[in-house]
Amino acid sequence: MKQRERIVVTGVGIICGLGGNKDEVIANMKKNQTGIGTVKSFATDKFLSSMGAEVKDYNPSQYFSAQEEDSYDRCAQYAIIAAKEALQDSGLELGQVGSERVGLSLGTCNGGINSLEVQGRMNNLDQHLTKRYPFFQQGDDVASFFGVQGPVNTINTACAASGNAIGYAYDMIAEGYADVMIAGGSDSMSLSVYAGFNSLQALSPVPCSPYNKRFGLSLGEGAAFVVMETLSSALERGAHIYAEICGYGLSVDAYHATAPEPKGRGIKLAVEIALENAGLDKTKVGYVNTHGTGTKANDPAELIGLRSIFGEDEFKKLPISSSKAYFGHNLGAAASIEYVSTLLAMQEGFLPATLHLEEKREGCEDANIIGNEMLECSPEFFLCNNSAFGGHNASIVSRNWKVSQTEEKTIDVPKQTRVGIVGMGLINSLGTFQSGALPQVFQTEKASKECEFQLKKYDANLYERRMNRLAQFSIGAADLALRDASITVDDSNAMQIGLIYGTSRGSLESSLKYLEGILEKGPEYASSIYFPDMVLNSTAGKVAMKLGVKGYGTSLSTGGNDGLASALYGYEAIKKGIQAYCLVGAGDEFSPLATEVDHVLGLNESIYPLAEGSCFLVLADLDQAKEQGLRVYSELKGFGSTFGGSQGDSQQLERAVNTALERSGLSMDDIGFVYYSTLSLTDTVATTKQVLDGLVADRSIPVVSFDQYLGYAESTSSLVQMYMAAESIFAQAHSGQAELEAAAAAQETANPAIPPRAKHGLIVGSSTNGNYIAAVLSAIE
Amino acid sequence: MKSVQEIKETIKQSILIDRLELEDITAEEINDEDALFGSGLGLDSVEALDVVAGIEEEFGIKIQGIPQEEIQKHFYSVETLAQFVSEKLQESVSA
Repeated sequence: MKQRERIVVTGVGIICGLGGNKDEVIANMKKNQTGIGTVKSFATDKFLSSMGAEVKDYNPSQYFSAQEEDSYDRCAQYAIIAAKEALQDSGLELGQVGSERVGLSLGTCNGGINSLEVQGRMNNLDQHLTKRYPFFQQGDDVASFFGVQGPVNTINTACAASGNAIGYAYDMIAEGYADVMIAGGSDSMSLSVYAGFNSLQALSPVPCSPYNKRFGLSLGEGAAFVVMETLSSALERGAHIYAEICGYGLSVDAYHATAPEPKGRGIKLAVEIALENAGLDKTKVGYVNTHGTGTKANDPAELIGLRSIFGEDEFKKLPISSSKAYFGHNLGAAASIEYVSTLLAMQEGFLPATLHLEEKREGCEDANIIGNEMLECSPEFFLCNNSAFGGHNASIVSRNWKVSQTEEKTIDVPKQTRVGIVGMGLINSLGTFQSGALPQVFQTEKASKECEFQLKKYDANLYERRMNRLAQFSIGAADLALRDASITVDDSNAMQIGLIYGTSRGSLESSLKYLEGILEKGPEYASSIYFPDMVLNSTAGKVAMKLGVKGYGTSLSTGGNDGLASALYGYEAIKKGIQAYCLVGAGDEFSPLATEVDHVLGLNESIYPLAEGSCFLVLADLDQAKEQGLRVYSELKGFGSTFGGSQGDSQQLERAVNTALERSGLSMDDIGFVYYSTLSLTDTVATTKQVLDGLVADRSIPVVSFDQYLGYAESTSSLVQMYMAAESIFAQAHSGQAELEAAAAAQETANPAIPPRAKHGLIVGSSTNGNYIAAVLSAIE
Repeated sequence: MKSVQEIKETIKQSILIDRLELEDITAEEINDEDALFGSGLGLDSVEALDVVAGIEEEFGIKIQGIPQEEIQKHFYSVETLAQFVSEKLQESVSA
């Protein structure tokens, strides 16, 4: 039986409304203090509340040089401060571990929103400030600050993001991509976000009190990070261990843009997957740190979900609490701040409390809520749960190392499932495709890469009013992919299908409408209908909702290879047996604000036209798919993921390729073609081509980017290469080869992109900040 | 002071059509008695809150924070909503 290392937390760091470091935070928790008070960052007189948990007396110069302070948005600043504390706490020297074996995952709800809103306009944006804005920039800035060169990922599932980021880090170590991961989340106080929650009437006029008679939440800000490593390495170096992360789970509600499914179905599934992933029986769970925001919609729904997992009687006995009355709702940082503060309390033999609890509200009466004062209690195992706008949920299962230790350094893992591609959907300037786009690509003479797809015309049932074009493209492409795979989603299989989505920017068309509305009319008139689209996972949430996909789910941003990052995540989920099927996709959309961001990234000088659209693949348990008689286009053999910190890092590009080959059990000599996508700037493309040509050496195989035919679409292009590779491999193994050659012949010379009889193809995607992901695809034997 | 008829027109055009971007319908086609939610115009709870912000902006009255039950009562149709706005406007004048 295959085994894997146990993964433990050996360092924690935190900055939030309750304190600027871990000592301050735990000291204030012991005093039952709240960090929620009157917001000072902006005027709140026109809002329903003036409450918020701000970081007190924040002085960046205490932590950063003037140049550093100028380079980072507040979100990245908080993250660096917390991650630094966590690293110091762990006693790890990154240099000794080797930066190539260290990775980073960061969860955020609003990214660098402060850097955008400070400008007070939405056109002619300042280049320097706007560079700090993108979501992926937050993860990349922190990774660059510490010089990590392992896998780097920014998870954007709003209020569940940092729990998911810790989960992703767990995967990266468990699956051998890294030895050490720095994981957590960050978000800063923002006027436009505050205005959005105000428009939804979700803010409490007094400090929030989850599960209490009074409704409403209080927003917070801050960051928390953990350092994760294998148990063997922690024991070897005599490190202090806080907890073992035993497993985690994700899910998507597919219910509503802002409200949770009323029966708590989503959080229930996330917990179930987490427990199964951890191999832990639910009766062993001794404490649940809940999401508990204080809103009318969240609290009872969440408890219904928990009740249905543990059973009425056990649930009544199980200590639970929401920590949000200490430091508010920290959105993307909520999960990690709650996780770290729970660990801190456990170090002292306590469990966190829900402050301000007077009288439990309807639907929460039977819950064993730890109210107002920490409880002296040391459970062996505990859960940390979070739920988000867009319907994404995350649950982490941990072992409280202080009271429950194990000598066994490894645990058995079930046989790994082979992963195949069984469905494809593509929407771009050429039209809509299932499989079959490859021959068309070479015939195009269209210069414009604008996508004319309209979901309403494609299927009016999938459309709803004000749906932004990113959501339209993405729902369309996902629907095409499911149809291509002959999968009909219904109650019997909805929870067996996952959905992982990559988007660097989300819908800036919707963000622009929301932010412009605030600028024109004032924050007190903020649009409640556009606010929910400010979170980047809103698109993935909509795809899930419209197609009824209710399984494992997340959304992420890497700034250029988002699509391949989704494929990697989906591949790991199927490999581990979490899901039988998983949609992986990405999308891009033109808008005036997107053009501004393009300019900042230098894409106004793109050598290929910029493109929009969406691409989705259906990944599946290969053996099961074959048994069911599904067409399997190709097998996904393995991935590599590295980070260089800047474009054109030849070394990290090569290492991503070599890692993917090694994990696939293949060498470069086995590869029949290389399809790649990279930031479409002259130098970056040239460097990438040069490195890949070098790896191919004197073998004359195609090294091609389909971006030259289809244009460059930041999030989608890398996945489009995988689409083309799957089609190319499948066509060669079947009768399609003649057609492909005919299409190629029509284009003057034989097409160099389609090699004869290739069994294995390599796909490479890179981001604007040098995030490299490589993958190997193979023909089905 | 705006008449109830003027209020209705503002609600239909500025709020329902322009602000909420209702599609496949014009202001003229919205009946005063049509239910705003459910089987009528099909607004949801988040859109209801946007109607609140729209009313505040258009008529300069403060109604944010009113309980959900009040929303359900006064926001039933353009007719009931216009009456509610008219009363609020009179209150603000007499106050």
